[in-house]
Amino acid sequence: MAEVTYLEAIKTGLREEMQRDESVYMLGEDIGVYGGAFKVTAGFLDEFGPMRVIDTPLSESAIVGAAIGSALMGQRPVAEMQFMDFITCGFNQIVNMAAKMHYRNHLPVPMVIRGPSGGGTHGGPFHSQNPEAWFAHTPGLKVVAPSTPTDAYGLIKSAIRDNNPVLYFEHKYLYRRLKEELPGRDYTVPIGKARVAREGTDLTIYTYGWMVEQSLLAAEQLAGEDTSIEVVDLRTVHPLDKETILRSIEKTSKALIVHEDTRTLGVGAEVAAILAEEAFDMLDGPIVRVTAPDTPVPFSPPLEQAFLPNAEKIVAAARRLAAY
Amino acid sequence: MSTVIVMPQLGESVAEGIIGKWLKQEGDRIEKDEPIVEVITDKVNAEIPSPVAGVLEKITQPEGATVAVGQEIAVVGDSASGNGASGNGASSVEAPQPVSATPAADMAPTMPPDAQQVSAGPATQTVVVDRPRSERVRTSPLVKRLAEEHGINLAEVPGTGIGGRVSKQDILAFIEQRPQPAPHLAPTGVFEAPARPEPAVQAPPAAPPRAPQPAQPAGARALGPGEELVPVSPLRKMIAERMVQSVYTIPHAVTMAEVDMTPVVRYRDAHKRAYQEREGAPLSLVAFVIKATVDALKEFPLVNAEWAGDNIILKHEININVAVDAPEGLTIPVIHQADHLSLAGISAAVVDLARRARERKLKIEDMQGGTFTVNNTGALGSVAGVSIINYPQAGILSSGAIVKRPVVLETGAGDTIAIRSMMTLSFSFDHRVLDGGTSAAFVNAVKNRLEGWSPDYPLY
Repeated sequence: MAEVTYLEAIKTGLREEMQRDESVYMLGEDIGVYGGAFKVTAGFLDEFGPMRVIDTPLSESAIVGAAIGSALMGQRPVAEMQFMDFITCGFNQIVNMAAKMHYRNHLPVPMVIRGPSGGGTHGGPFHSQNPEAWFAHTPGLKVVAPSTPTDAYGLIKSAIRDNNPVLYFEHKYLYRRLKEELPGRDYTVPIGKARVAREGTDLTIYTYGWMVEQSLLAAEQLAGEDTSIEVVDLRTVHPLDKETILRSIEKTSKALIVHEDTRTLGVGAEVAAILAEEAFDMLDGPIVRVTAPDTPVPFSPPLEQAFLPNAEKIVAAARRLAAY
Repeated sequence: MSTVIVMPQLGESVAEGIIGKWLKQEGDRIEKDEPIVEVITDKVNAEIPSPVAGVLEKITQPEGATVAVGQEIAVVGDSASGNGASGNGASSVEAPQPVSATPAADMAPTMPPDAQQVSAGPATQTVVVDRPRSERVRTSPLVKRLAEEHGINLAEVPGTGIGGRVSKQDILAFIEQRPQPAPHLAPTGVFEAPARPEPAVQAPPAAPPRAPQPAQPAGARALGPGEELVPVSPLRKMIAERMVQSVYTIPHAVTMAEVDMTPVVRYRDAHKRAYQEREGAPLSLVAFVIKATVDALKEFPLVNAEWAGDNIILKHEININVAVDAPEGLTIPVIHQADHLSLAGISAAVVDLARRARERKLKIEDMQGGTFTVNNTGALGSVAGVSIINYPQAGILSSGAIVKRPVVLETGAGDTIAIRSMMTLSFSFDHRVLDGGTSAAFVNAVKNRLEGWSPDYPLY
């Protein structure tokens, strides 16, 4: 199989699930005729028809609400947020309806909400955010954030097949920048399982999304300085894979947590808490975070550069922690 | 499967504990984490929770028994199996099960699964029960745990981390290069006798002798009516350890001298007002004692020294520790290179250190490098005292309160009785380093300098 981009991997996964299961359908803004703002669903309307690829009004609340309703009736909707920043317009439907439906009524809500998140593309404050932590905080939801084409492919399939509402955070910076050959058609990535993206012995970087790439670059650089970095790609930010998180700290004893989202109460805070609570006497150094600062994402490219974590910032923090 | 409960390591340097009171009796059902026994050590008293649920099958150590760390104190049986025979046949399936095989995912936060211990019976699992955290050492949770598990005094491990921190690599290398694993357990009864115990068994040969932990009968019992257990602060514990270390390793001897401080008092009275106005701080009386001590130390360099096995280490720098009664307890910051300071310089240093000690603003360097200690017990109203040497120094000089007393003065015109400002100097010294002759000569040198304090002595 030829190498495909991260975006094509998502598209392939979606298409295959649409082909495999007739109850899978898609809805969102401009996903049909236009093929989606990033062309993830280009060609889908022709292939699957207007009953399964539905252009909706500009109302995230309506999109999510319709998806929930159809999921309750036995469909497997995949709702696209044109940008994940706009997911907040559907917030109530997600956290109060989708997340609690099974608890209240014993009814499963097998739906996926997917869309592009993250910065690095000079998108400014409304087209660059990483809003995963809000949802990771909500019991009843699953939240995934793939970092590679293979994981993007394997996770979209698992998300669609899962009987719970799954939020699937794509990274728009990675859409056309990463390429991989995909595994076979039946390949899935289990939700709730992290992946050791690089083995190491001196320090573990816990990360996900775009920052996996940046962390691997940093690890490569530090390997030249005789510091052996392990990179754990969380892949699922809720529920977190404690087993993999703890197994790695047992090996390295030092934890650096990296995420693109802003700092306070981000996913990294939860990882840090797990390490402090369950691996306290494995730790040989402070738990350190490299994250975006607590500000909106700046529009100005130099400011965005300063705002975003990157390999250079990760190297600096890792060096300090390794020497601690 | 039965679980053997062992005496936990209740602090880095603790080798044994005393069974205070069994909170559960044989046959009692116990829940996981339920306290089963009170254990008393000279560092902490603690209720020991059961690491497992089950039935207390057997109490192997009675109340009041002194038990080495790691030694069995009880056996908890699996409640489901209900087998009276604690172990051997019962779970041959799991036969010799190394505890470290416990998967990480099952790791309980407070209970390291791989804590090595005495080898238990073939079918019994040995578990170290929860232990309270000991006093703060700048290491890391991991290093601290490894040190406790391997019976290592962290002070002996060279640190290569930032600020000399002992890192995981440092302690693993230290464990690796040790000739043999230090005996983790002191045999029962080593510290039982009231006689002075040997210096710590587990200290590597190169290390300075560690303070042994003598049994303290006063603490080794349950509370009676009208008694209260007061937990002590880390500083208090440290002071206690240092005192024990000093008293148990240094053969103390004391020599005293009465000093006529009248010339010093007159000198100070003459200068103190102007000094106070100029400097905004009082002219400290103890500064005179320190000044005289520093000069006497130059005359008797052997007093500014340290016993080191087959050698004596002479200290060419004169750094004077000054005892300060700070809110948390005794603090002894250092006046560095006191021989380079004038009387006013010493006074300013004393006032500054005392103030910062009370405001808890001392820095680490203020606490390091002392070579000799001056302890002004007079400031607290004590007329004379016998001080414990600030280990590993060779001596400590205490000055009592200055009190006016009638004394006999010998003058050219015959003896006369006069009212003089008298003070007692008390010098505790390490009798390995110094003998009575040198010690008395040193004290007299201090005395003569104070008694002969000239009105023209340079203040600056």
